[in-house]
Parts: sequence; structure tokens; C-alpha cells
Amino acid sequence: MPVAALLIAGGALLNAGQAEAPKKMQVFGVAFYNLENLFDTINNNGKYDLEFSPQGKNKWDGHKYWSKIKNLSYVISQMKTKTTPLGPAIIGCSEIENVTVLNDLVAAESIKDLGLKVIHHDSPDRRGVDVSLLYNPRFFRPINVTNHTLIIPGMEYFKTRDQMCVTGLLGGKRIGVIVNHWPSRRGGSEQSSPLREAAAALSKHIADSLLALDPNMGIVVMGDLNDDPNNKSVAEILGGKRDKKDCQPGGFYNPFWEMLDKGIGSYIYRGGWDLFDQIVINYNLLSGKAGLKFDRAEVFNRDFLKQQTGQYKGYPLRTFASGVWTNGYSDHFPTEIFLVKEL
Amino acid sequence: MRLKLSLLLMLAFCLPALAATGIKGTVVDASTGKPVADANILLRAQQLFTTSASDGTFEITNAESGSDQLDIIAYGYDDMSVDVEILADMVRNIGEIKLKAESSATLDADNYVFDEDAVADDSGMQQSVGTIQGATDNIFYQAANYNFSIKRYRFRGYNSNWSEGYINGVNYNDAMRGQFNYSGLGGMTSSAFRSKSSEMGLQPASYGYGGLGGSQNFTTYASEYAPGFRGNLSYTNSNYMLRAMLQYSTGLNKHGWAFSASIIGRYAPEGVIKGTFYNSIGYALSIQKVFNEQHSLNLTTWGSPTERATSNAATQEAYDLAGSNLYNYDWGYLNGKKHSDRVIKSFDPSAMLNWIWRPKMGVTLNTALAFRHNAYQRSKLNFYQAADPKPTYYQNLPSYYLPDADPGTDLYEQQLQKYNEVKYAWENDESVRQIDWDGIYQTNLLNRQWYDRDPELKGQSSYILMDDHSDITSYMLTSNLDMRINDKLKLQGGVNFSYNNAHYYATVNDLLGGEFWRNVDNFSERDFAGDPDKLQNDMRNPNFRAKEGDKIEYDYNIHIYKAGIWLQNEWDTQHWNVNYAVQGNIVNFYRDGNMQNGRAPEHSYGHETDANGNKRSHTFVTGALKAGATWKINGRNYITANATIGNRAPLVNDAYVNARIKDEICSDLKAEEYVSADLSYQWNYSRFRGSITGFWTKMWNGMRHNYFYDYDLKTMMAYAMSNITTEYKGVELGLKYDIWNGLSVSAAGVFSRYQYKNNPTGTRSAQNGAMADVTRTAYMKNVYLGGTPQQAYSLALNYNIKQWFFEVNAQYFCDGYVEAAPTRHEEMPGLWKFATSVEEYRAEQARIGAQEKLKNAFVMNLSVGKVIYTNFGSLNFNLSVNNLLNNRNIQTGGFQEYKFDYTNYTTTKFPNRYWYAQGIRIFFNFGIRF
Repeated sequence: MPVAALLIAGGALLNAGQAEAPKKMQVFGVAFYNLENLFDTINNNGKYDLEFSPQGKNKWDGHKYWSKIKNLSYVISQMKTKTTPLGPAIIGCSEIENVTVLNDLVAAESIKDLGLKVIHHDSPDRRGVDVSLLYNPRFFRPINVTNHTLIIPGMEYFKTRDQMCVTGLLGGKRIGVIVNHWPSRRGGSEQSSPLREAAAALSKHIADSLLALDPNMGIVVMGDLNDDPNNKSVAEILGGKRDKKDCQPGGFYNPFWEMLDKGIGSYIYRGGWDLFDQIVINYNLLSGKAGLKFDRAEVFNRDFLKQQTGQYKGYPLRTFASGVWTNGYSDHFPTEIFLVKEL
Repeated sequence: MRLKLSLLLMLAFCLPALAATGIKGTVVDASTGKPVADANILLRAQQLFTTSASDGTFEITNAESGSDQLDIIAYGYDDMSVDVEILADMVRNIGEIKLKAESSATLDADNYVFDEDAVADDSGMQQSVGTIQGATDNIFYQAANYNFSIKRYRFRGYNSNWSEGYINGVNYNDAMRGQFNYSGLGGMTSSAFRSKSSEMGLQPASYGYGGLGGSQNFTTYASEYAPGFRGNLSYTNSNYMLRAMLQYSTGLNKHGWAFSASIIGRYAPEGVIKGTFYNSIGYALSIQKVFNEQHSLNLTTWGSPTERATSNAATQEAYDLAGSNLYNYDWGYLNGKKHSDRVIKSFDPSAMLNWIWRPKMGVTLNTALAFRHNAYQRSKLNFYQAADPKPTYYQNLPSYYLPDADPGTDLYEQQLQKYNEVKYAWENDESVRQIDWDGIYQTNLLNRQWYDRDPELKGQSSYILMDDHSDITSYMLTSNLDMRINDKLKLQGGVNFSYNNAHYYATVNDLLGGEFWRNVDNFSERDFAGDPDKLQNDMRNPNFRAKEGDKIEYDYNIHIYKAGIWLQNEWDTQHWNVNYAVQGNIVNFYRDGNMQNGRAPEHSYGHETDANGNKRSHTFVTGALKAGATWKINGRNYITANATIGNRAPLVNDAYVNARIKDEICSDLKAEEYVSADLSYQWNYSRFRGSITGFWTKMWNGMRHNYFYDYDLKTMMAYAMSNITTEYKGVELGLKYDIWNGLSVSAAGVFSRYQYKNNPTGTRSAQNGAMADVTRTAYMKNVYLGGTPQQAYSLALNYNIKQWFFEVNAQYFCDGYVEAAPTRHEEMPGLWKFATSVEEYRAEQARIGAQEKLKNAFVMNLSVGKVIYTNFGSLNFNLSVNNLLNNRNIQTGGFQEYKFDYTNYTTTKFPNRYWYAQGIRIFFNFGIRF
């Protein structure tokens, strides 16, 4: 007992000693958001785009489109914290049709003052949806953008979203962000797993080539991976570790794995949470070697993003549910990590 | 090996010989001239990247010759681009690149720099935990709803009037019996009433306070239907045979209009039970105008005119003699066709206007005005100075002829012969088991031709078919607020008012060949031969000769005014979800008679007045509180507790001793009181989820109302049981395990006890006025509540692959009881004839009061479904086979007769009656959507 008391007292003294000179810090939010079919109302891509046109099944007209823009921009406007008062510095997005919709999104009333900028590239995807990156130029300055098409040997007809790799300066520190939307679980999660394993290998390859340029670079692999953190693609091929201590130089840490284990999810399938929307970081961001250090991760599961009533109470409030326009946000919650820079 | 080595050597010698192609330079600060280190330098077209060294120098040596652009991006400086010409085989030096200091240097502004502590504060923000607790994901609830329904499972043993049903936020439990009329939805639960929100038990709802047994809200807003056609065609071998359904919805168009129309038809010339039929049409129309983001109006109207013949519970003796547990005595052949005497006609049309106002995000005010007219009539045979026409009337059954003489005597032999004759006829002659319509018509015809007892009565029908009517007209006004104050706190509440006019009366449906039916009490006549007034049902119109369609027997209105208010808060924090709610209600009702009944001439016509001449009505002010909390240990484990205490006005239907005759309420009419609590643990792992819940509820001052025929007094008797205390407790379990891709197993079970916990009071009131009302104690303590199984278990295997759905499940039910009759639990002075000691008397009483357990039952079901998506829409079919093992021995309910043999005190004279479930039930559905 006296020993314990001494220890506590000693600890308090130590803390008091440290408190003398508070460090100054900057915090940068790096987020990902699957925007669930952010299509414009013009039909120019055959069958899949027809659905999202006034003539199509969803009667996707201007009213619905602008409601969706308004809703999604509201979500972004709410992603502010005390230490990131302007919201995320970087938002990777998936399921967007083209650059127009992104320009409309960043110009929306509730976030136009942030002055977010858009990086976009058209993918060969069958459904005509792409990944993209929004960033706040106050905090992030892009250096270079490369797009990487996933080619599966023996399945040349297979087309999916390109992986977008953006290098730039986040708070002056060079990082690489790889935005992903890996192939879906169509046909069964086990049967389709090889596709996502190939996507994971491509992401890993892109990351490795960035490290070859700058071994201290911070690398973020983010996206709707259509797999959970414990699935083979993410856990083994990309190698995102569950525990910080297991992350070695050159390797990855996946802060969302432990979260899923605790039952936090970003997407619901048949009554169970999945956490497909992950932001995986490399060792340099975990250790701080990149000049930026991982602080925490969050699934942005605010109450307003959920269904308030009905048999699907607590589920993400979607744009359409069973063919009915529900004027919601997305079937995924956004996710975000916070990186800290000591000044 | 040798070859490789030489290749390597060659390469080694050749490499220095090739001159590098590229560019180099130095990055410096334009104002100070100092080198800029770690600047990012990108040769844009060739995508070659390097960074400047600490002295500002950089070099790219692996380029190709040609024109390109060099981008220089450095922290603290403006971006810069330089056009460059790269020459082959040389690394060209472009000299100094001067970077200008960043013009918009907002980055280091104080706004975005924080002390370590502030960052630590933010980091300390815990991830909030999202829970999935909706009805779809409650495995127990799903099983109870679908797999336990064959046994008429009642959630937690409660009567259905403890659950609240809402439509678009308007409470639709009827004002008299307090129940939600599911049949009023006309079977359109997969079209017009597809969208619903279900809350189990004490869970908070956003549209109303809810009930002990949970609540449901159906929404019919036109914009909330999926646009397009939806059609279904089904076959089943149940109470109906064919079902066709069509729905068309426009979705919300660009002018803000939405429209949806549904129609359904259900038909069976004969249901699975002989002599029944089913004809029903249902319609629903919704039209909505969305004016702007704030305002929208929705008008919905629906109804489902239905005509169907029903069956009634019979004794086991009758079922066995008829050779089928689905034996139905309520029909007979008439002109070669099966003709039922028990036909229900119902039509419950409604119209509702909702104004939905969303003044700002997260705030909804839903105000509704609704009109409803619930018309219901049921036919039955009535008879006057004639034999009971029911084949199952106890004197028509073989058991009535069981010999009681000493065996071996001639009398015994004669009795035995008679018994065997009746039994043989019952077993072999269908006409004996069914209603003898020809005999009925013949008797009535004879009355016209030969009646000589009383010339006044010549031509009067001995038998008629009459209808009991209940027409409830309701006007309802409801306004509900649902408001998100912030991300953690919600406020919900509302007010509601309604006026209900319930009209009860009987009419002559068919004189069955006779000329008229006299509106007098056919039972009174025997007792009050000398008092011509007393037998009148309406002294204002004595001895009225009613024709078909004329009102007879009783005719009165009950007017009910209701008002209510409720308020609820829901807090949602990282690890806690807390809710609490309060409600207050006021009910006022009075009876207004349209006939002056001879047995209560001063208390039947018009309404009662008090000493001051004011209208006498009955008012109850009640209230309730409830609270619940969920502790989200993490996203995988939660613990929830709920509790409530409150009271509610007695159901108006149970309030009167005998409303058909007189305006007199039960003497100890008081508000029913209740206390309830539950505690549950839920888990949700990726492959294994479920919940276990314990519940306990106690209710006081319950009431129950019934009519039966008293064979000793030869009159219909009203029996009002009051001051009932009941207790409900048990454990519910539901779990599901995903075995493998699409294959899952789920299990559900409930183990419970629902019992009477006191000795309530019972009041008999004779319809014919032969005796004054009698009040006795019914010794019901620890008697079980009847009907629902108190143990039910289910195991299901599910497999989904490529839009195919398979399910096979098995259920086991036990501890169901027949509904106990309080009359069997009274002190019976006459029983002392058969007892010589208190012990013997008690033993006799126990025998009479013994509550029979319903048979345990095992049921298996199978279903298969497939959805096909095509270019124009989707097709689906599903086939379900219920009671796969064709178990014809499943009792779905049963009851003790209120009437009793007060002569010999046997329980065999009026044995229990039961309902049975049908054998295999097929349901095949084909659907299309486009």
C-alpha cells in the first residue's frame, strides 16, 4: 500500500514536471467516405447510368440530386473537431460518377467556405463509378497524381475502379495517399476474395514504389475495401496489423481492426457490422518518422446518419431503400484518422 | 552459369559508357537566396520525381530527351513550374530556381495550432458505439412473429389490447376493445402497409408512447413507395384459396406529387374448413404533395369489404365422432349447397390526412386528421319456442344418451340402443352433424299454416338468422413532434384527441320462411307470463313484428371521448442510451340507449342523468411513466433494462354489466394498474448474435366480459369479471450463428408463466331479468392464463445462395392451457350434496376447476424462394409448406364453458371446447415488379 502510494505520488511529480512547456501541435484529419452512387442526372453510360437519370428506375432528377449533394455536404460540414476546426484536410471518396458531381459537392452551401479542391480521374469501372480525393488546400498540397488500373491475369474483361495515388504535402510533410474501392463481394465473399487480394497486392506495390523514392514518407491506404480488416486481402496481402506493436518498418497498421473487434462498423450487412471503409497507415506515420504521427481513428457514426425508426433502426440512412427514395446520405459511414504534427 | 557471369561482366563494363540524360539545379529562397531543402521536384510528363538536398541541389538522371515541365513544390513557398528542354546524353544544369515565400500563409495561423493538452482532449474522445436493435435483427421477435403464430402465441402472454397499433402516427386501437384491427389492413401488409416500424415490449417508439406489449406504426406516405408496379398471385389451402394483389406507385415526381394505389382480392368458395368461404377486396390509395422541404400533405384512404363464413370451437366428442378436428357444425345443406349460419361481414374504411412539417433539419411535426367507420356484423341462428338447431347442442350429442340405468336392466338396454343409434347417426350421417336448414324452413312454414297456440303469433318464425352489429365511427386528431435537439438528445411527444361513437344493435337477417319475428325476449316470456311489459325489448314499440332488416333485441350507442399527451427523451452517448417517457390520458364515455328494455325500463332508453339532471358519464384520468437504458459495453455487447409503472382506463367494452339491456357499469370499475420490467443482454459478433431477456409484469384491476347461456335459469347471462390480478414472467432467448457463406442456424425459445394472482369478483346479470345481479368471488389464484403456449421453442436452418432462399424450421410448444371459466372457481353450496367433509368438498372443487393443458405440439415448416432480376424488373416466387408433417392434432386454443351442470356437478355435460390447426398448409406466391 505505501509502495503504491509512493508510485502514484512519483507519477504525479513526473507529470507535473512535464507540464511545464506544452508542445504546440497541428492536427490533420484524413477521411474516407463512400458517397453511395453520387451520380448526376444525365444518362451517358448505358445501363448503370440510366438508373440514375430522370427516366430510370430511380427517377434521379434534379431535386433528388441536389438533395443528395446537400446531405453529403452537410455530413462533411459536421466532421469538424476542436483541433480540426475546418474538418478533414483530405477526404478520399468512392462511388462518384464524374468530376462535375464533385465540383457541385464542394460548392455546396454548407461547405463552400472550406474551399475544398477536387482530384478526379475517370476509371474504366463497369458501373462507371470512380474514386477521387477532396482536399483542403490550406493543409494539403498535391505534388503528383497517378492512377493504377487493376488487371487480373486471365480475366481481361474484368474492370474495376482504378486506384488513385496522390502524393503531396500534408502540413508540409510528404505523404502518399492511395484511394481505393476494391472489387465487391458479388458472388460471395469467399469466391470473390481473390479479386480483392489482387487489389491489395496492387496497393502494396504502389506503396512500395513510394517508399523507394522516400523511405520516410507517410503512406495512407484508404478506401471501401469490401473486406473487413481481418480478411486475407487487408490483413495478409497488404499486411495491415491489428496491434501497433506488430507493425514493422515497411509495414502497415490498421487502426480499424480493433474497432471492428469491438463491434464498431461503417456498414451493415444482414444485421452485422462490417468495417469496409478503412484507413490503413504505414510504419512511418505510426512512429512519427514521416513528421506526422497517428493519433486516433474514428468511424463517423453520428445519430443523424442513421435511420431513426422502422425495422432498420440504427442502420445507415441511405439514399434509396428497397427502391424508395429515402433522402438519406449513404449506406456507409465516413471514417477518419487524425495525424498530428509537432511544431 | 558461365553465360550469366559474362553477361554481368558485360553490363558492368557497358554502364559507365552510357551517358545519363536528365536535368539538375538548385532550389533557393527568392528573398534570402538560401537553399531550400526537401523541395519536391517533379518532371511532370515523364513522371520523374526527386527532392532537393540540404544544399538545395537536385538531379534527375534517368529522363528521356524532349520538352517537359518541371514542377517545384516546397513547404512554405508558392508552387512553381518551369518549362525545360532535356537533351540526350547529358544532365543539363538549369541553375537556381527561386521560390517565392507562400503568399497565403494560413497554415500556421493560431486557429489551427493547439496545445498538446487540447489535442489530448480531442484524442480522448471515445468512439461512439452504434447499436443494431431494430425488429428485423431481433431473432426472438422474428421467430415469435412467424414461427409461433400457428399456436396463437401472444407476446409475453399479454392480451392484444396491451400492444398499440398506429397508422401514420395515429393510434388505431379501437376505442371499445382497445385492439388494433389487423384485418382492417385487408391483407395488404406486403403492399400498402409494407412499411412499418415495430418496437418490442417497452422499447421507445418515435411516434407514440406505445404499450406494454410493444407498438407498431404503419406508414402510407405516397412518396415512400418504390415507383413501379408490384403484382402478386398466390394460392393457398387455408381460409382463403386465391389471392391477387396489384400496386402501382409513381414515386415523387419533379412537381412534388406522389401517388400510390393498391388493390387486393382474396377468395375461396370453400376454405380448408368445410362450410366456410372467403370473399374480400381491399383497396388503398395514397396521394402526397411535397410543397417544399418544409411542408408536405398526404392523404390516404383504405378499406377492405369482406364477407366470410367462420367456424366455431367444438368438443372433442364432436370432433371424434365427425372424424376430423376441423369439424365445423356451423353449416348445413340448403338446396344442395353448403350454407353457413355464421357469416361475418366487415368493412373498416378510413381516410386520413397528414401534414408533415419539417421546420428544420431533425425536426418533424406530424399532424393528422383521421376518419374511420368500423362496421362489423356477424350472423347467428336464434329460435323461439323451438329446439336448439345446433347439431352440437348437448342434447343432440350421443353423450347425452349415455345409459344411466343399472346395467342388465331392460331400461339400460333401451338406453344403450338409443345411444348407439345416435352415435351411429353422428358418425355416418353428415346431415345429423350439420344444420338442418330444411327442417328449419319446414317449421317456420308450419307456423304460417298450422300455428294454433296463439293467433297473435301465427306466422312468426320459430327460427331466424339474425345479425349482431357493431359500428364504430371515429374522428381522430393527432399531432406528434420528433425533434433532434443535438446529436445526443432527442425529444418526442404528442397530443391526441378522438371522438368515437359505437353503435351496437341486432337485426333480422333472414326470417327463414316465416313472416315476422317479435321483438320480445324469448327467455323472459317463460318467467314473466303475467307481465307483458317485462319481456319487451323495446317498450316504446311493444310486440313489434320485425321483418328482415329491422332492429331487434338491443340498440344502443356508446360515446367515447379520449384525449392524451405524451413526452419522451432519448439520450445517446458513447456508451449509454437512456430514454424516459411519460403519458397522460383522459377517457370519458356514456351510454345512450335507443330501446326501452322491459327488464330495465328506467335505465335503458336515452342516457342516465345524475341528481342534478346532468348526463351521467364516466371519466378516467390515467398516466404512466417508463424508462429504459442500454449500456453499450462495446459494439458487440449491450445490456438493456426497461421499467414502467402506470394505469389505464378500463376498456369500455368491459365496463358495463350488461350494456345490451341497461346503463349500469360494473360496481368496482377502476383503472387497471400495471408494473413491468425487463432486462436483456444482447451480443452481436460477426458470425454469432442474439439476445436473452428476462421479463416480469404484474397487472391489477383487470376486467373480462362474457356472455353464456344459463341452462338452469334458461336465459342468456352476462358475466363480468373484475378486480383481476395477473402476473407474467419469463425468459426469451434468440440466437443466430452463421455457419458458412449463406448458411445459418437460428434458435429461439421462451419459457414463461402467465397466471391469475388473486381471486377476482364475478357478477352475473341475467338477460331475462329472472334474478337480480349476483356477485361472487372466483377463486382463480394461480390459475394459468389460457391460449398462448407458455413454452415455445424454434430451431431454423437458413440457406441463401444466388437469390435462392431456403428455410426449414421446427417448433415445439408446451404449457398451453384452456381458458379457465371463473364460474367453475366459485363456491358451490350445492356441491355439499356430494361431499361429507371439507376435504372432500375441496377435492370436488379441484376436480371441477381443474384446468386442462392443451396438447404439446411439434410443427415443421419448409420454405423455398427465388428472386430473378431481369432487364425490365424482377420476378420472385416462393413456396412455403407449413405443418410439413401434417400434424392434425395441434390445438390452437380451447376454453372451459362458463355454463355448468349445477345438478350433478359433472364436467362432462359441458366439456371443454377446442380449436385445431389445419394439417399441411401450402402457400405458393408468384410476384413481379417492374
